[in-house]
Amino acid sequence: MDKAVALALLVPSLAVIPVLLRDANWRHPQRRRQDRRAEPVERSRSIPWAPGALRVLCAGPLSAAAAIGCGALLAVKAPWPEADRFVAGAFLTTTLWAAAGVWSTTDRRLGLVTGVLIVSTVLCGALAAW
Amino acid sequence: MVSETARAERFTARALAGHSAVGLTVAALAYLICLTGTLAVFTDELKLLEQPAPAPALLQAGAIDRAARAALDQAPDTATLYALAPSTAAGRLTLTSYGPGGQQDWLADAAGNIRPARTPWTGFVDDLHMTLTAPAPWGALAVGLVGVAMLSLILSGVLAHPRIFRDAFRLRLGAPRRLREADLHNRMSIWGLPFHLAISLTGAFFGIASLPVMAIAALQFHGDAERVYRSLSGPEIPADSRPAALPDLDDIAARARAELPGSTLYYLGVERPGSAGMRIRVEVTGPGRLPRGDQIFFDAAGSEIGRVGFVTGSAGLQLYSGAAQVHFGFWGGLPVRIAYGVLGAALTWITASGVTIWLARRRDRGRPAPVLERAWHGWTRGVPLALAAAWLLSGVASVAAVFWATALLLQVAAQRPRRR
Repeated sequence: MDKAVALALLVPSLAVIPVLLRDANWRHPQRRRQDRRAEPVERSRSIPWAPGALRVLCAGPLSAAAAIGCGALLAVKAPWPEADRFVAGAFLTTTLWAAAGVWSTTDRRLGLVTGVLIVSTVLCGALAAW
Repeated sequence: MVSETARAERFTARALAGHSAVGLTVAALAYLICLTGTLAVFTDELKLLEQPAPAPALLQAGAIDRAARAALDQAPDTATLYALAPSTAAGRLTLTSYGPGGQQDWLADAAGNIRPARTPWTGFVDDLHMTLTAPAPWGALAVGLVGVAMLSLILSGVLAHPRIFRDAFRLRLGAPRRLREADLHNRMSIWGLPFHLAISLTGAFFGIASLPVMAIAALQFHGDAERVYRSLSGPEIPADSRPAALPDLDDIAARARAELPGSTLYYLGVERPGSAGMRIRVEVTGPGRLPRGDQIFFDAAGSEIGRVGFVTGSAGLQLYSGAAQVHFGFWGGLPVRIAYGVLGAALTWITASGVTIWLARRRDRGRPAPVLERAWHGWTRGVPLALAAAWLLSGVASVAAVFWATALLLQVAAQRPRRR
């Protein structure tokens, strides 16, 4: 059963290749008039260093700390057998870290992101230690 | 008032900017890890090419015991000996000894006669994939961080693609290079999404596991990380240096197989061999299941002392073992490994093309980055060429030295301005 699920996830990725190639447009597209114009020259944008650094901090160490805190809370407090708690905690850490990283790089409300990550870390850490 | 469309466009732009920033940060390492991971799926076949003898064959009765005793004779200071049974048609019985003298590897024939293993290239590729050849725990942690970043890239890539379903079959192969590469990058990413998610999640999980383990150890076991692993590593036996004879390992393997009907031997490990504190760990693979196998433990007298049910135990144990199987691709025979090879190669190309597209877009907008373009060109072409050079010279020179020297030389060559 579990092998069948894994196989079912694998097969569409391969089965679609001939369909994609059959339906692909192999001809050089006729460029419309507006496409012929060169793309506008982009001026070099200077990104303020402080928000940039904060965003890196959020996507890296703060996301990691919040994810580890939440994962540890699950691993320590969940009412399951020990191995289940630890494995679930480690998986939660991995997933939350990636999700928090995406949130940190896409949300322009950097203050909110920073606040939520710090509060999650402190709250989960305290609850896990309690 | 900002319209919904403008808001959605801004969100897409921010998602794309985040996707680009994370992608550029980890691209070089992600490319290396994906490429070596794709090769590692065929590790048995590559080892067979590197060292054709002994030929793969069904193990005869008594082969494991004979091979293990011969290995212990050659490395008497062994602290732990592992005997890995063949699990593919190209696989052979492989023995590895760890001790104060370092690591030694042997290959055994069907009868259990051993000879030193000489597969430095495949070993290097495996190490590069798992640890970037950096010392523990930093190498595995770095690979895990790249795995987390790849998981983020997959999520932000989906968010940055608002027409994901409408464009599902759009592939303009006749279009100019940048459009063609962008279409291929997006289509291969979307259709390979389940595979990419599974590989990144499981790779990141195993890579960064030491971080939550440290947190759990600090919170619950006064910093004792070993204690956290105990629920996965089976019952302990206290060290006892009094001499004890090695029990018949084939007999122990047969008894372990009998515990899980229809199973086959995956590996057998002997810790502290020849002492009364010896612990023997046998993993037998469950037939027809995704998790690899149960581990059954024996003491120096050959008595069973416990079991960790990665197939028959709790959901967490099954998830742990299943995650390893999903990552390595050894759960469905050669067809599944070929599928992993194809999709792994696609993932490698996706990591390379992401940066190429970003560089091309920059150039089209009048802000070219020639040094970075040449560096990326040098890296994406250089790594496969360096691996090929290391393979060709593996009999006469250090694989690691040839690989890194070739990669560096090709990078320097790529940076030299071309004559027009």
